[in-house]
Amino acid sequence: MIARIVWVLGIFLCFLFGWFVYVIIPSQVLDPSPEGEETPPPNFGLVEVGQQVYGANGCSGCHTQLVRPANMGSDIARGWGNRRTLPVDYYHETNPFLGIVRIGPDLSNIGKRKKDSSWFYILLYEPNQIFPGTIMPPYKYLFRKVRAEGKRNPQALPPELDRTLPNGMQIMPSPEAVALVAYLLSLDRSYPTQPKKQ
Amino acid sequence: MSNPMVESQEWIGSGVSRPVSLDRSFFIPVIFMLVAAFFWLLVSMGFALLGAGKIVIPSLLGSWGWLTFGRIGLASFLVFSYGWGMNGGLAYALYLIGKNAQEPFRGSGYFLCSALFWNLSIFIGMMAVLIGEIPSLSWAGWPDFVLFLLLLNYSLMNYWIVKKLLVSGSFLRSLSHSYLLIALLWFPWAIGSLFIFFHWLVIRGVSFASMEWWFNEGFLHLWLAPVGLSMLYDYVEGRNGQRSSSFLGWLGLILFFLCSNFASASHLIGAPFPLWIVGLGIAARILLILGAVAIGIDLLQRLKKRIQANKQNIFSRYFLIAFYCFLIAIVGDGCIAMPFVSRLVHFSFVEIAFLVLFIYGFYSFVLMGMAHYLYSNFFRKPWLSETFLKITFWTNMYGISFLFVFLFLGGIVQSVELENAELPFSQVVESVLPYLRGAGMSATLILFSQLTYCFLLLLMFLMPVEKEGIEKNEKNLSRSI
Repeated sequence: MIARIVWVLGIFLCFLFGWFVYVIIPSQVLDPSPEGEETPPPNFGLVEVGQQVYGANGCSGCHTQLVRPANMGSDIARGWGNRRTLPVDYYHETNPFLGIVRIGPDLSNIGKRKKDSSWFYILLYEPNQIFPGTIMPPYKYLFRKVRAEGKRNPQALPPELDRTLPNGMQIMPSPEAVALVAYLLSLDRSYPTQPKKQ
Repeated sequence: MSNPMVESQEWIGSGVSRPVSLDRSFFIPVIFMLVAAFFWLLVSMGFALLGAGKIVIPSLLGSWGWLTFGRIGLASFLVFSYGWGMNGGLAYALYLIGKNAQEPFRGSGYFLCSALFWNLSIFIGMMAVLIGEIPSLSWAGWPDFVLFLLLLNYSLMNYWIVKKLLVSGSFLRSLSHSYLLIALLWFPWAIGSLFIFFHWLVIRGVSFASMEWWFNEGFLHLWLAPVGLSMLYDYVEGRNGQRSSSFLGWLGLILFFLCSNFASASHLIGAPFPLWIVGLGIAARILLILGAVAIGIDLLQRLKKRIQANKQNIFSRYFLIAFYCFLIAIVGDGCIAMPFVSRLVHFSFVEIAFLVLFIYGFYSFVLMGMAHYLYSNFFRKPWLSETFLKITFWTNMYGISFLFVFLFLGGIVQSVELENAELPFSQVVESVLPYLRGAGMSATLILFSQLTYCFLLLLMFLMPVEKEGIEKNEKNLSRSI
């Protein structure tokens, strides 16, 4: 009987120890506030919704958001960031998209590299237009074909993207696409990290 | 105790695989879980195949958001792990308890009911993932309410099995029971912890990533691996009363179990974590090799003996392939965790290749071997065609081998080219593409194999009972492989 109890307790102690090291300790030591570095502003409104759209479409299945230090890979040399990412960069994210594999490029600082929202809309609607031969799937379901009432909407995509587009119609990003692009444009972790002002 | 599967005297003396003596109260839930497992396996492979198709033609079914690459990839993974992996694992757990039970399974009804709701939860979760309700966790990527349903139903199913294991104390003597106990206890602990942290305790930033990897690695090494190893040990341990307690086997178990708890941080190399956390993960990952080698030496001798005794039945082959895949996956994973290798291959398909080898090569193969063994024994009917059975085995084996090789080679090319910062990323993807297409073809081969197997199973199920069916079945199989 004692042997059974010892064995089962041993199993639970091992579970507990692993849990303590990887769940409890990080939640304490990796929290940069309040005495640590100054934190970036939290995501609000459209950007926050865009973050959810990013997650809902499984973008993190192909893209990482993690710049490794210069001695750990070519991330910085590739221009994916000017420094390695730090805990403070993810401070306000309840679910950071660090990623698992790079089928697409790292997006930690995509908002710094590309500042044109129409570039993102075209990429989402027809990735081949931007990167011929890419394996990125098109996200046409994030767009709507709507009747153009008079003047062409400035947010509308170039009609050449869809040869089957009937006359008088235009391709407009859905609210989800607008939010997603707002989120992507917000991804800029190139700010210098500094101690919090007292 | 009513026993629909009566052992024949010929069987006992034949030296080939022993027919299972299992009461109907165990038999029905076991078969239900196994059938559900095969159903989810097909669904998962269907999604995987569609994902492979999307790599060749990215616009394939692109106008439907619920079939976008990111969602079906996750759905395939989750359905495979929870639908195929856990259903099969729990069926095996119940079988293991049932074959030594002295009385019928009194909780059969509620077990079946929980099993039904468990599968319903997986279905709801799968639909939720497809419509975009994803918290973006890889191995626990279910919406919160599905996590709760899974935890509840798992606990209900688990209760009776764990109670039996604890009361019998068999886990102190038998490696198969000991491995099983570890797995059964880990899951409610881990998923309960995730649930509490999501809802009641604030965890954010990179600590969340640490917790995610703690769960991911735990699922691999503290659920799938122990259940798979338990099946292998149960197979080599043989009949009741032949439980052995080899020193090497126990050493392997302890090393493997201890290191598995700490191996997760090796995936966080280069991530913003303190060096000691990552270092601990890498050290545990490398030490895991020692555990796997101890298990390997112990198992290989016993497997060889058992396979000779079983005259190389088809399920013996499944077990043997699974065993080798386990060793290669653990040793390979340990090697790529070393910092000088990891800096090259991190985030590449090399990591995915070893993961695929572990879950498809090791766990899936050992589960298929076990399922084949149980079906053959339970139904006591001949398989329709031994040629088709041979085909399913070999196509499955070649499918997984090619899948691993293509992903591994593609990953090496990807790693080397990514190192050259002058090379545009699009060119790196272009170089990897042929390998990904090869991997897609391999996935097709695996799906074909599984479809054939399920078709044969269905035919066997529909055929009338033959008294000498299983003997005929096994004699044919012994000759054919």
